[in-house]
Amino acid sequence: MAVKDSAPVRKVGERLDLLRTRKRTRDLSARVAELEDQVRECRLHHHRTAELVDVVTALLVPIARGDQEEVDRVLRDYTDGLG
Amino acid sequence: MPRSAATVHKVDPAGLELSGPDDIVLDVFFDARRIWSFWLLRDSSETAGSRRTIAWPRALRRFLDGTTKLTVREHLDGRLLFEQELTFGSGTGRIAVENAQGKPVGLDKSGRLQMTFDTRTEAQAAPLLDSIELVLAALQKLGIDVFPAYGTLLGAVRDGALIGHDSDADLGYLSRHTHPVDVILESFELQRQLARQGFQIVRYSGAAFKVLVTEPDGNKRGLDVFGGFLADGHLVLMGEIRTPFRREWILPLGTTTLEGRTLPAPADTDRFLTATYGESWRVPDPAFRFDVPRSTTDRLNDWFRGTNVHRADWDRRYQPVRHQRPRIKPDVLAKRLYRDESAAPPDLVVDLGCGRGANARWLARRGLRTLGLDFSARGYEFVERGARQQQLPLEFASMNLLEMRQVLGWGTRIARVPGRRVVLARHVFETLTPRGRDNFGRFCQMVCSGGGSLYLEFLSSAEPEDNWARRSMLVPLDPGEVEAALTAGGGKVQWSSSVASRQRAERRGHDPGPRRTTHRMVISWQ
Repeated sequence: MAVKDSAPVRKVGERLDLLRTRKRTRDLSARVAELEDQVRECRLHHHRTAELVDVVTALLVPIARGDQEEVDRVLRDYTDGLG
Repeated sequence: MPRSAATVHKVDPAGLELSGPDDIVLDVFFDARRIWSFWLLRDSSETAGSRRTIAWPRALRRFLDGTTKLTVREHLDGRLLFEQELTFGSGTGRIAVENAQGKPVGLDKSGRLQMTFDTRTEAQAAPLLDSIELVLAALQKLGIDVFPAYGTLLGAVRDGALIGHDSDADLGYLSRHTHPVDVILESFELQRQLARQGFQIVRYSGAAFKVLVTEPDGNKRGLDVFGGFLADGHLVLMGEIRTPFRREWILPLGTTTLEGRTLPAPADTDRFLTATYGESWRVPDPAFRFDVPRSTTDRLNDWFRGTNVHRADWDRRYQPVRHQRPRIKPDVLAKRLYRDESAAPPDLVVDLGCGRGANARWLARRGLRTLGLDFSARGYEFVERGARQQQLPLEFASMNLLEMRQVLGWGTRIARVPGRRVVLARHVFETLTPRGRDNFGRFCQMVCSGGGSLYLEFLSSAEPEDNWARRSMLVPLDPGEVEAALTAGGGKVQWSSSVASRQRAERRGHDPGPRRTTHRMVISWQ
C-alpha cells in the first residue's frame, strides 16, 4: 500500500514546492521593485543637496559677510550667473 | 565577407520601399546633398514578402513639395542603389531643405534638422574651431582637465576632421570629485566662473551645460560641456556613459588633431571611444544610436537631470517669432491685476512665465514697474528691445523654476525690492513637474510675503484633442489641489473663478472650438 501511495504524495509535495517557489519569486520581485524605489529616492536627493549647498556657500555666506550694497551686488551676480 | 547589395524598389511621398539581407547604413541625397541616413533593417518595417518600408522622417515631410534628384547610396562604400528625378506634391521648384535663414540643413543622428558640417567650407568651419579652442582655454584656466568628447573626439581621432554628418561640438572633462553632489557643485562653480569671463551659459542638467559663443558673423554657437567623474571603478560621463574605466586611460591628457589644430584628448583614445561608441567606433555611422543600459540612464536621470524639462520645446516654439511683435491686447487676468491694484500700486509686478512679454509690456506702459521672467529667453527678445528704447519700467530675465537655487536666488533678490510685490502667472503652474510646482509655491511665498498677491491662471480641464493645450504643454489641474498646494505656506485665496471657454465663445458668437475650462485665482500673503 505504502509503495502504491507514494507517487501521488510526491506529486502533491512537488506541487506545493512549485507554489512556494512561485510565491517566493513574486515576493522577491516586489522586494526588488521596492528597493529600486528606495535607491531612486536616495539618488534624487543629490541634486537638491548640491543646490542648497551652492545657495549657502555662493549666496548666503557672501551676503552674511557684506554690507547692504554688497548684499545687492552678491544677489545680482548670483542670479545673473544662472542660465 | 562581402555584403549582399540592398535594393530600393520604390520612393514615393509615403517613404521608401526596399529589401536586403544585411543591416547596413543607407544615405539619402536630394540633388546630391545628403539629407538623411538610416539603418536598413533596424529602422524599417517588414511588409509583404521580403520587402521593407521606411516612412519619411517627420522633420522632412514638410519639405516634400517640388522636384529633386533623389539618390540612395550605401554609406560605407558609396554604392549607388537608386537615382531618379522625382516630384512630390504640387510644388514646381526644386526641393530646398533649408532652415528659416535659408541655410542648408540635414537630419542629424537624433532626427533633428541641423546645419551639418558637410555643408560647410573650411573657412566656415574655422569659427567653430576657434570657439572650441576658446572654451577649452577658459576651462583649462580654471584647472579643469577638459578635452573634445563624443563626435568631436571621434572625428579628430578617426579622420583628423569634423564629421560630415555631425552638427555640434562637444567637450568633456574629468572631475577630481567622485560623488555626484560634489560633481554638481563643481559644475555650478564652473558655470559661475565662465559667466564672469563673459560667456553666456545655458544649463542642461546638474553636470552639463552649453557655452554660447558669438562668432564673427554674429551667429551664436553652443558648445556642450559634459561633466565626468570616476567612481567605484567606473567612468561616468554625462550624456550617455557609465562603464568600467581607469583613471590612467584619461589622465594625463594626450593630444589629438582636429582640422590641423592640436587639442587635448584622453590618454587612451581607443579605450575612450570604445566606451563611447562600442568596438566598431572606427566604422562611420551617421545613423548611430546610443544603446544606453537602463541602469546608466536611471543613474544619470536621478543624479543630474530633471531641471531642463520642455526648455527645448519652448525655445523651438519662440524661435520663429522671436523678432516679431507680439499681440498688443492684454489678457483678462492682467487687466484684473491692474484694476485691483491701481488704487495702491505695487512696487513691483513679476510676470512669471511672461512668454512673449505682452502682458508685462502692457502693465509697464501703465506705469507699473514690471519684471518678466521666463524659462526661455527667446520669447521676450522683441519686447525687451522695445522696452529699452522706450525706457519703460520693464526688465526681463531668464529663470528656471525647476532649479531650486534659481528660485531661492531670484526669490531673495526680488524680496529685497522695498514695498509690496505682486506676481502674475498665466499658464505656468500646469506646465511644471511636481518639483517645479513646489518651487513655484516657494517663489511666490518669498516674493509676495509682506502683503503681496499672486494672480494665477491655469487650465482646469481640456479635451484630449485640444491642440492649443497640447502645444502649450498644459496639463489640466484640479483647482482644489492647486489651492491646497499654494496656500500651504500661509497664503489665503481672495478670489477664485472658473470660466468655460465654450460658454464665453458662444456668448460672443464665435466658433466655440474645443471645450476647456480656465481657472483664475488671487492668493495673498501677509
